[in-house]
Amino acid sequence: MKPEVSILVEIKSFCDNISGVLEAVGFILGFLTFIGVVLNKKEIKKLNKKNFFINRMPENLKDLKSASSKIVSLSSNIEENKDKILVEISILSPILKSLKKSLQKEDLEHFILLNNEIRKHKFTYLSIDNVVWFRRVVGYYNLLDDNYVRNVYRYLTILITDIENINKDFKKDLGR
Amino acid sequence: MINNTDFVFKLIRETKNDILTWEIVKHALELPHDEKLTSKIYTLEIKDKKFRLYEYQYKHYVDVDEWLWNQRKRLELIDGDNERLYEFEYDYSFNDLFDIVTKKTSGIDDFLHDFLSN
Repeated sequence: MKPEVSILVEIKSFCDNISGVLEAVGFILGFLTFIGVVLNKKEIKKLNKKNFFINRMPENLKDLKSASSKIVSLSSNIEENKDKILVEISILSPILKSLKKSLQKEDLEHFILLNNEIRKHKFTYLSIDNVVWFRRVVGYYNLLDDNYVRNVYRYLTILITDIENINKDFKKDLGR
Repeated sequence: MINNTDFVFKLIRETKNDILTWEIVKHALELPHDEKLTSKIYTLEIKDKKFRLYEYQYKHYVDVDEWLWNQRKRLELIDGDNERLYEFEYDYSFNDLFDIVTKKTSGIDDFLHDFLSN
């Protein structure tokens, strides 16, 4: 083999090796960037929740407490106050929607229980006579009775207690 | 499953409907050193059982030497000597109970009724 040819072969082999290394480096950098983006997204989500917690939570908590007090007060005479209680329960729906943005996944246990009860307000009737026949046939209705009001109140007060505790821990974190 | 809230829910309803009557008492109450009584003491008797309700202030530590004053209501089962036998685990419903008990024992409803009807 001529010396010029052997030099060209060596240069080509060197270039192949370098390109292999650069490809591997590129792949690692791409992977690290992907991890970074995922972590940043998580961090941004966390910051958003913190922001909601500081700015919206006090208002949400005040609304929940007011609803709790009204529901329990109206429940002293459920028969007479059925329509007012149903209105109070339906008012909770948008509050919970707003509240969800401030809560972390691990804080959602009682939120979900309450939310499931509140969702029923869309097919809750004041008396069985108001339930249309096809709903009666398939059993897809809920009655506003003592049991339903007690369940809503129970989950509502437990959720408020949870938020008060989260709030205290949050103040503790800020203190550090 | 029966829990505290169901019990408190019934207490609230029956207090509001004047089925249960709470009393303001003045017995001595010993609280831990970092707690302060911030209300009157209310008691209630149901079927030979005596319950006590009050509001207190406590230190909520945010750091080793830094705290915030927080307020809570406490509901207890007590004996004839006013000693605590059992403390109900706190939940927010105690606040609703406290509000209705203070309103009922203050007599404000009767006053407003008389005042506004004259």
